Amino acid sequence: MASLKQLALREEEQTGFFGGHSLCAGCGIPPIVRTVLGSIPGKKVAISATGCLEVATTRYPFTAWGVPWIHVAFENAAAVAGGVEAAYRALSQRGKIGEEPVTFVAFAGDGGTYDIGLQALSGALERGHRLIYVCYNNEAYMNTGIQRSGASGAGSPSAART
Amino acid sequence: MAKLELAQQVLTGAEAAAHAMRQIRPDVVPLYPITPQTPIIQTFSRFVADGETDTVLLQVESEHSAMSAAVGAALAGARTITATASQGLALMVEVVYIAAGLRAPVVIAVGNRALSGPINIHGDHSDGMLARDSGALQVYAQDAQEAYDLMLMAPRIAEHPRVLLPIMVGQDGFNVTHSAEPVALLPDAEAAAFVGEYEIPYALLQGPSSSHGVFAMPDSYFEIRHQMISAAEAARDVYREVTEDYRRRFGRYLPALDCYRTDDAERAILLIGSAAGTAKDVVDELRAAGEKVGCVAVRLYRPFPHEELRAALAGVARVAVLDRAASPGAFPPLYSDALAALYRSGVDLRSYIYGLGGRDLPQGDVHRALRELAEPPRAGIGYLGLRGDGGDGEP
Ligand SMILES: Cc1ncc(C[n+]2csc(CCOP(=O)(O)OP(=O)(O)O)c2C)c(N)n1
Ligand code: SF4
Repeated sequence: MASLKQLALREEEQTGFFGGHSLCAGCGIPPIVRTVLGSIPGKKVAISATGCLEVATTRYPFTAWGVPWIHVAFENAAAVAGGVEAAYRALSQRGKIGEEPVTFVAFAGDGGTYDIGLQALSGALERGHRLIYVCYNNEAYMNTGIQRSGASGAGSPSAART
Repeated sequence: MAKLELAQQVLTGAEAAAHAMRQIRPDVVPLYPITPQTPIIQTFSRFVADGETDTVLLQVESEHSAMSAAVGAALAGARTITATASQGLALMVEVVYIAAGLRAPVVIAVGNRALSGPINIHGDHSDGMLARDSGALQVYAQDAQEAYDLMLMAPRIAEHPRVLLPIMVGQDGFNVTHSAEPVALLPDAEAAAFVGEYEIPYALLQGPSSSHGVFAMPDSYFEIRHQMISAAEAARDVYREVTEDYRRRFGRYLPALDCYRTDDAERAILLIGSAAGTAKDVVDELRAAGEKVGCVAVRLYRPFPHEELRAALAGVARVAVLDRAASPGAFPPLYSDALAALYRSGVDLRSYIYGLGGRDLPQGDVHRALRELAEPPRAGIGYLGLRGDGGDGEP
């Protein structure tokens, strides 16, 4: 597996996630997504929860995603990912898609993971889907304007206090 | 018209729906129990355990996740069916709307049941009406046979390239889900040939990479929703095509409206679901006594068959619309739909609510509604079977 340094160097070779999105300049999310996708060989499908990443990368009619991508709602990225992975198992067992392995990667913020999405994540883990779940933890609900999440540090300022 | 000689089996509506699912052989079925839907998924799970279909079952941790997984699977390229009722549908409903917007043709079997509170496990149509404006198509069965037939037709309607919308196949909780009656099943091969293969444009796992569930601003959202609304409108013709093909192949016909002795009727009952059987018995009884009465049962509720209803009730002077759901503070759903369909037609419509939370609709209540149609109109909503409302069907 490539090191972080190598992945960063190869940024321009990567076709899973492109620039031109509207995430803030300096936002930590794009390097996370690019690094994760870049480190996975072969075919992959990305699943997003509602949040900064989803909103800022798929403003119709554009998309920053070079891999098949799906977003359904805020609290269900893990369940959607489980459904896509189940479809892969069903279709390959019936010979309806090629043998090529596919990696499923879900991306959700800390709000979509620690709080509203915890139940769906618990169910997906317990069912044992073959998928990677990435929580990009920016320690707050950023998309709605900096409110606390279950991952906010004690005493961290929120929009209501600043 | 071909008519197959079919062996009948004694099945409940839930079992009949599960048999249809076995014959459809969906790729993925996310499931979660809730009365009175549970026997659908339980029977289907038994078929899977017995090796009758190699469907991938997902035992999810909630209906919200069931529907979420269903949307993911359907858009990935897998034919997907799930089932629910009542609180389960209420929990799902956020994602039912999204499924319609994302054009995921998921089939949802529903054992229609009252909504809490107070909590009640028995039949009414409140759950279906909660999803009424979601964009999901809705059909309602009157009995176990129809539950089977509609379930088999559902994928073809939902997956039609002009439609691509989820479809809810409703059957009344207990009255249909748990009532055993003779049901004629098609041979497995004929059923499978009728249903055909699942094909959607832009599947996540097939073809070039695509993005689903994107963010739409005011400059595009309206057009995208309008496409979905137009697809729901187109489903009216597709329902007709599919039901006619079903009739051609198998000799059974389930048009959008089931019109019973309405041809020369002066008064009629309009309703949805299993109570149609009771109403038809009353119609027979009154016809035998020389009264010109009829009954119309709505099978296709979304899209609503406006034209068909206008045609069916063209010569009828007065119609009692019986809703098994309420819209507190306003007229109930079927009445409102019928009123819009019959605007300026001259048909006098009266609204009744019956059967909430599984209360029976005895024949006496249907008699009362038909009798009151012969009397001068009254304003507001009548209640059938409600204690203290003057009915003769008091429990
Ligand atoms: C059911 C539901 N509740 C609330 C929202 C509003 N909402 C959208 S994004 C968001 C916060 C997302 O926070 P997080 O998961 O931390 O991701 P980030 O915005 O930080 O990327 C909220 C509350 C929603 N879309 N759906
Ligand atoms: S507000 Fe959202 S887009 Fe901006 S830096 Fe924070 S996480 Fe990134």
